[in-house]
Amino acid sequence: MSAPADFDAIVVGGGHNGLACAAYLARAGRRVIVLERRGLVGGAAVSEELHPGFTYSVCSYVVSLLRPWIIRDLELARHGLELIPLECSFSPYLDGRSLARWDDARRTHDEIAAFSKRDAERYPLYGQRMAELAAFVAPLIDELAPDPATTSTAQLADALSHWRRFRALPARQRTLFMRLMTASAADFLDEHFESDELKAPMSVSGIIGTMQGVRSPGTAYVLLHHYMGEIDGHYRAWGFARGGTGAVSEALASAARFHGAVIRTDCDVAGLLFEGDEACGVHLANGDELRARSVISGLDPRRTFHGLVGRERLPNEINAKLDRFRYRGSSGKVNLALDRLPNFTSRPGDGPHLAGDIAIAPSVDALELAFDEAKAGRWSSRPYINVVIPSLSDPTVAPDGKHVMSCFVQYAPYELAEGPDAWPAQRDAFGDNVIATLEQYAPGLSQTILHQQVLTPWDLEREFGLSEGNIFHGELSLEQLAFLRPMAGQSQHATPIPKLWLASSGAHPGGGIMGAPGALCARRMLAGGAL
Amino acid sequence: MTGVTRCDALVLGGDLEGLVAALAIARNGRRVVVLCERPRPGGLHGSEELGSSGIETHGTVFDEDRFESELAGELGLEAHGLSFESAPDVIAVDRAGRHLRIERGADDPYAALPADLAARAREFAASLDQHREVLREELVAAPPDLVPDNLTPALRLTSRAARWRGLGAASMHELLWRLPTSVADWFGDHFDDELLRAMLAADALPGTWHGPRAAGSSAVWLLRDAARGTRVRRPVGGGPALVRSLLRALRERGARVHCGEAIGGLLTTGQAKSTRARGAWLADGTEFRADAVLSTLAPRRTLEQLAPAGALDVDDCESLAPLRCRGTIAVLDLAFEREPGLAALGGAAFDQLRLLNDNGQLERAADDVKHGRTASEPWLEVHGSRADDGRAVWTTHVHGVPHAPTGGWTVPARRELIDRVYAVLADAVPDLADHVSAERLRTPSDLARAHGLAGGHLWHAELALDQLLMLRPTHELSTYRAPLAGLSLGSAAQHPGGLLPGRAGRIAAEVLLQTS
Repeated sequence: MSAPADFDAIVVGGGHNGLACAAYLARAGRRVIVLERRGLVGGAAVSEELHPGFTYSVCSYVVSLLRPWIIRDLELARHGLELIPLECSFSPYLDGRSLARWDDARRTHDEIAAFSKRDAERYPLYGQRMAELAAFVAPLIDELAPDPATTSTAQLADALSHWRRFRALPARQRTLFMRLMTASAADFLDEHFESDELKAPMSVSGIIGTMQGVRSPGTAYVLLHHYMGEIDGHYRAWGFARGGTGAVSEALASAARFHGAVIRTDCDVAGLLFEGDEACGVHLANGDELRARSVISGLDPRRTFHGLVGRERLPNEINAKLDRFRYRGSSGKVNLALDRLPNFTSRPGDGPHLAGDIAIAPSVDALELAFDEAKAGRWSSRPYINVVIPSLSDPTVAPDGKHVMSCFVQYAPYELAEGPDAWPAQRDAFGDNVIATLEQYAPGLSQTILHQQVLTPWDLEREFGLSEGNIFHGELSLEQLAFLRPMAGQSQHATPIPKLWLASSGAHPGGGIMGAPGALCARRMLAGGAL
Repeated sequence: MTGVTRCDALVLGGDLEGLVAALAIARNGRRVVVLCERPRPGGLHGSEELGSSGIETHGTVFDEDRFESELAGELGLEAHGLSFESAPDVIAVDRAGRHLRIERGADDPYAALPADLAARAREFAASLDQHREVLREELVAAPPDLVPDNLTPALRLTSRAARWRGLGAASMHELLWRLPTSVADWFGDHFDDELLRAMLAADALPGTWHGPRAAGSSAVWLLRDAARGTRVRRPVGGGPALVRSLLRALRERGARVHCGEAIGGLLTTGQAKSTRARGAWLADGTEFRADAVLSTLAPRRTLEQLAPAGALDVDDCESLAPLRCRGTIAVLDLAFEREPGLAALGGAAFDQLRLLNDNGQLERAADDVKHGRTASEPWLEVHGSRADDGRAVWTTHVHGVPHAPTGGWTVPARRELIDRVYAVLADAVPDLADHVSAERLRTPSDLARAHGLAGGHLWHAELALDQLLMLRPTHELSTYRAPLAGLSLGSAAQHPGGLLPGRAGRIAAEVLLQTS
């Protein structure tokens, strides 16, 4: 005889997607509980005061893809979310030159023209074309992914409507879209621009969080992320959350609680409870059991299926598909507390150029060399580094006059030549190398460091449950997108286990702090009458 | 010889695509003239003399094992001496001398592999059967129009979609997963043996600019596999025999093949948007006037050099910009009075030999090219052909060679490349250099000059996800029609060039026939 369900849904994992899913379900009147292993919610979208007075956005550090409709539906602004737009993308070069791209088109034009007049003329047109493509792509992200093999009339209608929208694009945009989805970031940019100093920092957005290079096929489409950002109804490439990226998760948690969801932290889920084949709850590491009419995983596919569920419960064919779903973490993070601002010799002094994102990406060739090293199982000796100093726009994250500096580093391959377990011994050297690389552009930086945190893919796996340290819950490569994410044959957030659902970035539309996987999972569950 | 010749259709380019196109048009009853710039027709598929040694090579590319017997039938080539035989074995040998053999022409191609590898290979091959037909159907026809305006293309698109859905969900999902995947990942999942992985991956890479880790390398592999089919056959006498049968057939139809003179430009009437191709003129002043022109020359040359200025507008020129054709293969011909034997094969002769080790090597070779240098350890595909008297020619495709290396193709750079190839060959044949009676290196740059191949690319346009099917060579040009009226495009830059030899020319011919 089974015990009565305590809840309509248990969400395992209090990352931002799990929270978004919980909030939507609670808003629809369902009884939801979120169980988070760590002492705070957020997963990799988290702010932590690791050094007194300094709040780090420990993992993810910029926000822009958070779906505007989610912000509106859940009234996240009311729940404390404030997004501060990044005004600038700054790229310093070792020869003393630098390039800053601003919101101000005129200013950007003049900056680019110093490298190439032709590129300066083309830049706004490129931006316009990309914004149009972003508008075309947005509904693909904001809706459940149709399965091309589907027999469901609803899904076929969805697919047809996307095709009609594609058809309605001007011919040139259709061609651009097809190339965007198949080309490499570097090739795609080569069509439009000639200057390496411009292409290098632009191309890197194509390879963030992947084990691919800017010349690798299939990396161009991620360039679109740069044009999908929306803050307060305006296009903005990137923004910070006031209080750090954790503010996104806190706002989602607050919205979920507001609608009646319960959130428990320091709560380690050991596995699922089954009634026959169906999921009917979870059991915790401390032995407690919780029952629900459905279980929702906010964990990545590996943790979900080979962790919570267990391989032995799944058919061989499903395990084979899960085994070939690639993670391959490729990035690390260095978070610094600074006594004062860094001084970039190519553009000395404090200034608005430091308030945006700073890209250490000297050339497309250098980025490829960094990737070559990763392929050989080594962290890059001269890595790509994306730096933000959020304290310049958000004084709440550091004491007066002092700063936090967040450095996203690529490549740091999970699979080192000596194996991933070699990471702890290499962590310090890896971190020191990041500082040394930055010192080439901003001498004296190391003297200003009050506190340093280095996160390798190994650390990301252990601390944040990101398999192989992949920040997106799985590579965002073409064979792992849409209906193929995490594997084909499962219908839109459903899983091979009845009553178990996948709400994490391991489901469509993937990672990038979108909130969409969680929201779409809730939508699917409600629409399908699962809950 | 100057003067004016009139015909119904003028084909620019005497390579395989050009000869096939011309024959298809001629069989339709039109008067055709082929303008071939080289002294002999056949392009990369024709034989040529190795310097002044008197030795004939057997062609420069060896993809005739993908020349369709159906195409031969459509063109009536069997009546002109063309016959087919079982395709030869492919043998891979690594630097330690370990070798693997796949018997392409056999019912069980894997019988010669070690038992455990053979079992895996058979299982893998069985999983390919479900998709070969649908992929082949995509290969033999023009790519479908994704946004059809008229009934015919709309019906075609619908029927293709239905065909793919007709695979069934599991099979269609599997194919859609495979296509964008890298062969490194796909073969890495199925096989543990490094040499076998590399031997298979080697079918994905020629014509691409990347290594086995590239997304979409599986798409190229799958298309080549579908093109080849099972129980593989190839023309007896290879490319040169194929060319000879085409020439005989053309002669029978009264088509003319004019060789040895450079093409100067297109003859056109009208201007700007109303420009119409009406023929071409040669460097010696001879004019050829036709109702329609089909070019199998490199697309940029056709559209930017041969077409008059102003015929293409700014948009047309811009749409050509993404076309990439960076060759990565050098060709080294080695002639022998007495062919040396490979110790690894117990002295037996070979037809197709792959000297490689593992996918890491293939990836590093692509990385070297990316950085503008010749691979420190190039991988080789050696095609051996021999005469009854024991003389032989090995034509080696050297992979990992940039078309424009940093510093250029200086004499030392050429020598360095040859030395590296010899170093690899020496693992297999230690005393190779002693046996060589003649040697000729053609870098991508040499191939560019000799065969009009932009970037020295053997198939005129890279094979990549963004340059396949309706994106090949660019979306705008994938219709086989130039932006200039009266001009069709049939080079290997068109679909399915690089995958099915001759078929691009055939499809372009059909387009010409329908539009003129």
